Amino acid sequence: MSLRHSIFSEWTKFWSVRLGGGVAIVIGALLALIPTLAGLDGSNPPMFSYHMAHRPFDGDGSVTARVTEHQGAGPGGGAGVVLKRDPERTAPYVALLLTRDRGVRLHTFRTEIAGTLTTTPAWLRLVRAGDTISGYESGDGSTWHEVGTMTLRGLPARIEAGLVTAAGPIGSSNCEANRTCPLSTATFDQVSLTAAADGQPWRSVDVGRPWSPAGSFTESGGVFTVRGGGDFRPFTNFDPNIADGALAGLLIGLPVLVAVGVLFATSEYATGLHRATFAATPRRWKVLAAKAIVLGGTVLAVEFTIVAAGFAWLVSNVESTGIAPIEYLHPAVVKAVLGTTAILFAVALVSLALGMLIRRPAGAIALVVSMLLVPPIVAENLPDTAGRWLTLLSPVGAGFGLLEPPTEYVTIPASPADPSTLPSTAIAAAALGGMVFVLLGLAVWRLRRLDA
Amino acid sequence: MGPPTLPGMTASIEARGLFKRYGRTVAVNGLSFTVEPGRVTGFVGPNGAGKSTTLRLILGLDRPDEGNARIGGRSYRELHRPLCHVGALLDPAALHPRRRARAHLLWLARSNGLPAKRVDEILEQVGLASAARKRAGGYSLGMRARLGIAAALLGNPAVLLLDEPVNGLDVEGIAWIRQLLRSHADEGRTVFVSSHLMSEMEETADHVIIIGRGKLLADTSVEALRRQASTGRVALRTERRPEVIALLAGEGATVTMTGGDQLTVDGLPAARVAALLTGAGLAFSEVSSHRASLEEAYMDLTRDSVEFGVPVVTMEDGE
Repeated sequence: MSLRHSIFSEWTKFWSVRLGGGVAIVIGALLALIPTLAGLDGSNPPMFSYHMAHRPFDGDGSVTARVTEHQGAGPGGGAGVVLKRDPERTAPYVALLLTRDRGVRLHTFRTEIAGTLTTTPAWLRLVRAGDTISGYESGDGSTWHEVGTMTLRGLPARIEAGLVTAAGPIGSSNCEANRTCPLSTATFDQVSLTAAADGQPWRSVDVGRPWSPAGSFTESGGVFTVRGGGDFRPFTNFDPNIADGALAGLLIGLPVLVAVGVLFATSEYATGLHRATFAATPRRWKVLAAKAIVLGGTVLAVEFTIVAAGFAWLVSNVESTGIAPIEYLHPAVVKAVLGTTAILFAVALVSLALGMLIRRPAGAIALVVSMLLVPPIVAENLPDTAGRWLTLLSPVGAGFGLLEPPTEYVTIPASPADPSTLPSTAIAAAALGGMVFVLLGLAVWRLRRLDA
Repeated sequence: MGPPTLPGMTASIEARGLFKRYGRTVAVNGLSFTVEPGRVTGFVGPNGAGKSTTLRLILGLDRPDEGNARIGGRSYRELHRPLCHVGALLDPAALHPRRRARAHLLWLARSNGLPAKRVDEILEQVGLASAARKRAGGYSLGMRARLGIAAALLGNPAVLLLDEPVNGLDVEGIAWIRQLLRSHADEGRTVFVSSHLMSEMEETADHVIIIGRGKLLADTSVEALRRQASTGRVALRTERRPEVIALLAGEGATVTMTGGDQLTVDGLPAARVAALLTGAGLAFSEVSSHRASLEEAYMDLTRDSVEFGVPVVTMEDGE
């Protein structure tokens, strides 16, 4: 009797019960999407909008300017220097901003690295070396501090360099119609572009969703005045960290998976079917392996399809409402889809293993749920390091690490003294895999020894 | 399904010194027996005697603390595609209520690499073809028993092992099972059927293995048991029981008080009992030579080994 026969057998069991495992997994996956989809709101304010004064910029070099004044800006407003592929809203960019509410920030769409300065005047400099862009700040124009480095893949040799301003709060949603959107005015001097293309004049443009009245740009005797609306803040209504959105859905979909995983094991014990199963397949490890393959395979296939479709829909919608550009295969999206699927897969198998070990649904479900919830809650009250390790004991806690966007896209927390409490991707994957492996192994060990 | 054609398809069941303890309860206590092919062997004992445990030990579901059970010389766990060697019915109620009958047989068939066609064949054979698409939860006791038998027959096995198969069956169902067991035995297969009712085995089995409290009490043909049961036993009524017991015991008889003023005397013919009592001037009435039934022979055997002191015969096997 090969494992293949056992897999066919468990597959038949899995799909032959009315409203059983298979159906439940599909329903659970759909449920998990609700928060992700509900997080979308077409009336989201136009974030990542700003006025940009720019000149073509060839190859490596730096753009430097001193922000002397920024009038009329609210939270989310900011002014600074920028390097951007082209003026299109979705084109990649890195800006070094003096923001109104967060001090100096090295900024791209939804990722920021905090600097140290908080007031004008502030010297800001971006240096391009290939795909790498580094930001430097200075309070006196002579001692410079490196804020950080970001990578923009596939930049052409010629890009745009310049100055940007955003006012901050976008105002009432109908400010465009009433031409009452707030604008702020930033003043720059000591502007220098070391690689500005010859003979190309300064231009200026409203980037992002147009607002009204429009922004403007003037230059007079080395003093640049950039007046703009828009906002540099990350989303508020829709959280741009798609991983967060995915997790909210996970927590709704997980109970279904937990129940399916546990019941796939315990329902046999409840009805006495386990004796027929083990009489038909005396090598019991094959039964558990087959169950794990059928359940895990179904979860992978169904959840991956639904989660990926959900994210694709999400991405296309984010695109169409003009909130922020995300590519379908943006590393953060890919990682969120794969990470979400991996968490669901791990939770389903952990539930199966605990169902086999405990044999009673109530006890097994209670244990899985406390495994999911208790470590992260306790961890919050522990010192950082202890908390981080404890969190790894929960499939969801460990899974946070899988959902974390790739490093170059990570939002660095406001204060450098507040390091990320998330486990790294590798540690998270190892913790999840180890958990599944150990619990399934324990279940096999017990199955072989115990009377049926 | 034709008779087995392969020479390897006959296989006896051998239990050697089986011992199994659950906590402080000894369920099976040094049990040894052989179930031969070509006949129906009844496995009889009161509730709690250890029948179901023994069957689980044979099927490798539970591990014996001592001893072993072999089928055709191999332990069950070593069997490749076990459903094709041993068909077992342990509990007809062990079904997922929301799974259709056909799917129930299908997962069993697939686990041993049997084709789906075989499932339809067997459904036809046990008379469930028309109910194959019904969910098992809606099955009557009789239908569940037929489905359980179908599962046991699925792999066309040389050994059938059925735990209380007639429980809850109507007369027609019982006749069907008896006929089925008989035909399988006649084909040279090994048929091992448990029951807590000796009367049930009287018409079904050729051979019985009787156990009580986990121990072997008898391993005998039904014919021999019947002969043994019929030998002398005298029942009589008297108001002077102490004197009668003393007198007859002195003559070598075994006397049992069977309630009220009744006594049962083993070991002396009726005429001799009457003569002795008359000679001693002890008043008695209703001397009768008692021809025991198989059921009584069985009750005698198991009297000491019934769990609660009274040979309660109920419908359910409480093991």
